[in-house]
Amino acid sequence: MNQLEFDLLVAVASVFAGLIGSLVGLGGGMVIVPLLVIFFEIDIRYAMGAALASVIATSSGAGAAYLRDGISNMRIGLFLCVATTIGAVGGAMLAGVLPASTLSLIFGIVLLMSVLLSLRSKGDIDTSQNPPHPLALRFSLDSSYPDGGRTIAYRVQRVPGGFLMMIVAGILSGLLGIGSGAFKVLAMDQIMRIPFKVSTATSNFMIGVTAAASVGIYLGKGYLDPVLVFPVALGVLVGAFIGAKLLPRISTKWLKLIFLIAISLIGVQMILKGTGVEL
Amino acid sequence: MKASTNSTEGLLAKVMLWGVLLSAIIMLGGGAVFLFHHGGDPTSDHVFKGEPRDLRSPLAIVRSAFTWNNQSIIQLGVLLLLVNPLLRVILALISFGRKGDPTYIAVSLFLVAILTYSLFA
Repeated sequence: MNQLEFDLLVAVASVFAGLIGSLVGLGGGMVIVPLLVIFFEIDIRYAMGAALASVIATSSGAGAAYLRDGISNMRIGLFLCVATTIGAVGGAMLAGVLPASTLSLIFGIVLLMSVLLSLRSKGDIDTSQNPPHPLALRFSLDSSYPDGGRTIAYRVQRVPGGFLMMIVAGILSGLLGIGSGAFKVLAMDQIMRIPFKVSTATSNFMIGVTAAASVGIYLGKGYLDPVLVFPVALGVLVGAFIGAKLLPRISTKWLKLIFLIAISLIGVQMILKGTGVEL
Repeated sequence: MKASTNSTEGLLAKVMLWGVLLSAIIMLGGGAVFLFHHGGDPTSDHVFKGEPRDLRSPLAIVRSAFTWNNQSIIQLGVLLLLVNPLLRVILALISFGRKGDPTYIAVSLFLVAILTYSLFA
């Protein structure tokens, strides 16, 4: 396989990863890394570098749309980015000292956990009558969002717990080259009781800022190979765009289940690769 | 408060979108020229070696892109992508500065510092 064939195939795989990632809600980075490692036999560090660049691209594209909707909460996003960026810098430094096989193992485990997280039921708890959390007051986190003509108010709960979870999400992002959106949303909607829509929209804004904190370190360590980054970033961006346009039109329940099973198998494969078992 | 928040978010949204489009165009152009010249070369990403110094720091990337090195031009597009979130937090800093919100001036300053450190240190 020469460079042209390689880049074209990688671009096609990346469009696919971006599309699937947005349909199942895991993000393109989570899907493209194992594809690059398993099917293209690329070193996981190059794969992580290219994936993290694609994560920034999709976050900027998707975040722009959400910002205009007035759903995402800038203050919550910036406040929690303090946690995720600290974690991301730590994670990226950790990635530099761990062997590729360990990264592969951790990636597989995190992939499976993300799949499980995406299956949980989503129901918002009304927090508008709760007493305000002192830190939420201090950082003006409580707000409201428009939903089908109504305005829904929310009060952010359990701020320290959410902040800690965000440090973990940041570490995973920097360690594995992923957006770790599933963990960010977990911190916001499960721990801090922020409505699901606000959580996902704010997470999209945060993902790019988090990724930028570790991608600079990746760049300095030489993980960003331009010849690999450009087909991956462009491909995932196109795929995510198509996914976002398709998502409201198609019934995704079965499709989502099929893809989640496929992604789980890939996760198991990454774990096996990390432990040195060849299939 | 609502109106100024919306205009900041509108500006942020524009920066995010146009930044991504511009970097996509540079990556696509640089990539096409690279593949035109090197499309027949063998691939090399199976073993990790790390990229050469020219492609590893923002200043070196900009400098070598001016020599019309194909890979450096793609990397310039990548770099533009990476600074997009930094622009986002700088814009947030400016908007909270205008509102006179000391808490969020501090939060944004911290984020500007940590992203700058990561990218340039």
